[in-house]
Amino acid sequence: MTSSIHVDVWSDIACPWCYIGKRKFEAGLAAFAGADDVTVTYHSFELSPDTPVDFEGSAVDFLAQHKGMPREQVDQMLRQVTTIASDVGLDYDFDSVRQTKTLLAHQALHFAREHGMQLELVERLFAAYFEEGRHVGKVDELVALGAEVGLEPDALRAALDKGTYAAAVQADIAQARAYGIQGVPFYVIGGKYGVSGAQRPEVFTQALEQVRAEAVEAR
Amino acid sequence: MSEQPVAAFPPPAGLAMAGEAEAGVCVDGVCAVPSPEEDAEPAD
Repeated sequence: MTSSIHVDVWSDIACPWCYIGKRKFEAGLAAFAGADDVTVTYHSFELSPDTPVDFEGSAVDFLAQHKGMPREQVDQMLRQVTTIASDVGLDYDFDSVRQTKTLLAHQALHFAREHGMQLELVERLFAAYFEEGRHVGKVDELVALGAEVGLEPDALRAALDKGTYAAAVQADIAQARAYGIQGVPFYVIGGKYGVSGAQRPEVFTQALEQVRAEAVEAR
Repeated sequence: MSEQPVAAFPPPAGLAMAGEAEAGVCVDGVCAVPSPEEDAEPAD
């Protein structure tokens, strides 16, 4: 009998390295012999709390205005990230990205978790944000995207309107703070190994193998 | 791969870090690109 391995992932929908990291983690997991025994939970992290729900402008405008970065530097950074995303099969379109506050999206992910569809919604929200220019900061859009993965629209809308999962989102953020997590993506594998950033797939495979080996030794 | 049932947070104890010292990560809204050398080899 094999015991399951839990992987906790802190990420934000508005984090380009998080979607890239998701693909790399998935590749690393696929190479792990015990992949069927791995469970994954996504946790909330607000990458840029000063982002308004509605920002009129591009990703370049946002980083230049809110982070004080030179536009040329931002342009270069986003071009590089787009190329790296392409290498893992993602089609980033920063010209169409709608910068927004992601707290509501995180609440939707908690709702999806309770209904057993968090992984589906994580994937849908990342694609909507980075590839399709969808606005993931508004209830109507989140309900529509949730419905696409099979979530019950009225129940999701009610949860978002009431802020049912607002405290759970804050608990995730507090947990990240307790770990000392400064940036995302951040993975906690087996409650023991931390992996920071969009690492190579082999890093995830090796960490999973290490956790499994230690579990066998402990028996 | 499946989802973990609700509950079960990892313990807030110290973590042993795995992987390269520098990889693609976003901090405070800025998502810097590590140099290829840094991405490929562990930092000293």
